[in-house]
Amino acid sequence: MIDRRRLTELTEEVDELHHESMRTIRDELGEAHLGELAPGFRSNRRRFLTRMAAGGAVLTAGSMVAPIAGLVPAASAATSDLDLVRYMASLELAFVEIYREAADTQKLRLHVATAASTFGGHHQDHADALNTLIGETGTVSDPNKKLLQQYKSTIRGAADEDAVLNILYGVEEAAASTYLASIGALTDATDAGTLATILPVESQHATVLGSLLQKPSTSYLIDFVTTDSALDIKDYPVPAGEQQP
Amino acid sequence: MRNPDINRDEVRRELRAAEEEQRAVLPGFRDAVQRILGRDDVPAAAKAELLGVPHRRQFIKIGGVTVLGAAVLAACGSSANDKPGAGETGVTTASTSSTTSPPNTGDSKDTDVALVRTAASVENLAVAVYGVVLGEGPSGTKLPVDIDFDPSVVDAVKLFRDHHRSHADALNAVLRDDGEAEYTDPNPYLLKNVVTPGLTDLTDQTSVVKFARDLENIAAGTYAYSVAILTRPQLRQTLIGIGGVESRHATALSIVLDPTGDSAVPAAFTDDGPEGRVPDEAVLKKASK
Repeated sequence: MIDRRRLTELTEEVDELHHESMRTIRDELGEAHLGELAPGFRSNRRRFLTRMAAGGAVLTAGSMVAPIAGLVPAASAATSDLDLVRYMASLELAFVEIYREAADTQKLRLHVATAASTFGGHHQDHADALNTLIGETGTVSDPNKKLLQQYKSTIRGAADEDAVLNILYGVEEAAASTYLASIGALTDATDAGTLATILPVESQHATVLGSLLQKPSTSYLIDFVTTDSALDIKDYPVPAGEQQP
Repeated sequence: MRNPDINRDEVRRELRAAEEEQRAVLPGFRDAVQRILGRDDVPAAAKAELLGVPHRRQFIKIGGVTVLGAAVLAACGSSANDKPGAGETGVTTASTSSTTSPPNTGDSKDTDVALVRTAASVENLAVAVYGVVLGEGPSGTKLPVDIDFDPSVVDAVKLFRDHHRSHADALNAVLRDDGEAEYTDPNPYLLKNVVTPGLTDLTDQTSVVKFARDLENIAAGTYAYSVAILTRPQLRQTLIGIGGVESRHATALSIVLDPTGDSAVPAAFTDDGPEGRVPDEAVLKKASK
C-alpha cells in the first residue's frame, strides 16, 4: 500500500517521463526539420557524441586569419567529439578545484576572494553544461588529475596574492585557448555552439584577473584569441576508468 | 499518512498502462508533426512555433534602444510570410533594404557567407562608433556634446577600434577566400535603428562606456550564436576567436564603470539567445553576383 504523497510523486514521475519523451521528439524533429531552416535550434544534447573530428582544422581564410591558423593541437586532430567534450569537462572540474585551492591559501583579499569564488562557480556551471552535452553514461565526475596536481602544488607554493592571481590568470588564458582549439576540432555544430558560449567567459575571467594584476592591458586585451596556450589532451588525458564503454 | 484505500500494485498497473498508452500515442504524434513539418505550404514560423522555437516578438536592448529580437529561423531564411509587419513588432521597423533581408534557405555556404558578412558589418559598425567617440566619425558624425574622457578610456577606445578593424579585415579575408565581395560598411540596420538614435543620448563618459559595452556584448553573443550555425569547423574557430575578444572588451568597459570588477563577469555563459545577439533584421544576405 502507498500513501497519497507517494502516489503524487509517482504521478509526477509519469508526467515528467511524458514531458521528457515529448521534449526528445521535439528535439529530434527540430534537428530533422529545422536543421537547415533554423540551424540555431539546439538539438538533443543527451545523445553521445561519437563522430570523429575532421582531420585537424586547416584554416584557409587568408592572411588576416593567420593569428589562429593551424593552431589546433595535433592530439585534437584525431579525437572524437565525445572525447573532446569529456576532456573539457575534466579540465573545468580541475579549474573548480584550483580556485578552491587558491581560496584556501588565505592570501586573497576579501573582494579578490569573492571574485575567485564566483569564477570557480562559473567553472562548475561549465562542467555541468558539458556533462549535460555528454549524456548520463559518459558523465565526467573527476577533475583532470594531472592538471590538478600540477596547479595544486604551484598554488600552494605561491608567495602572495599576486602570485596566486598570476597562476589563475594563466589558467584562464589556457582555458580560453583550449576551448578555441576544441571548437576548431569538433564536428558537431551544436556542441561547438555550447563551447562557444563558454570561451568568452573564460576570456572575461582572464580580463578581470589581468586587470587585478595591473598587467599591461595589451597583454590580456588581445586582438584575437589564439590556441597558443591550449592544453593538449595528450598531455592531460581524461582520468582512466571514465571512458565511454 | 498512509491511505489503505490505495493499492500499490494497482497504482503500478495504472502507471504502466498510462505509459503504454503514451508510447502508443507518440508514434502517431510523431507522424503528425512530421507531416506538418514536411509540408512546403506551412510557414517556417509556424513550424518553429510547433517545435517551441522562441517567437520572433522578443526584444533586445542596446544602449537603451529597444529593437526587435531575433527568431532562430532568420539566419537561414524564411518566407516572405514570416516577416513581421510594423504593427506586429511594436517598434519602428527599418526600411526594407536589399542588404538586410535574411539569407537564402538551404545553401550552407550561403549561410556561412551571410554570417561572415554580418559579422564584418558589425565590426565596421564598432569601428564607426569608436571613431565617433574619438571625434573621427564618418561624415562629421559627432556626439551631442563634447565629453572630457579619462585618458585611459581614450586609450581603450583606440585599442578596441583597432581590434575591430583587424577583425573586419580577417572576416573580409574569409569572404575573399570564398570568392565573395568584401563588406566594408557598418551594418545598415543597426546603424539606422540602434546607433544613430542611440548616439543622441551619449552625453557623458558613463553613457558612452555603457553603450560601447552593450555593443561589445551583443557582438560576442552574435559570434557565439554563429558558431552553432556555421558549417565549417575552421570558420567556427575563426569567429569565436574574435567573439572572445569582444567579451574582453565588454569586461574591460565594465571595469571602467565599476572598478571593483564585481559586475564584470555577470554570467557563466555568453548569452547567445535572442536578447544577446543582433536581431534578424541586422543579418545580411549573401551578395548577389
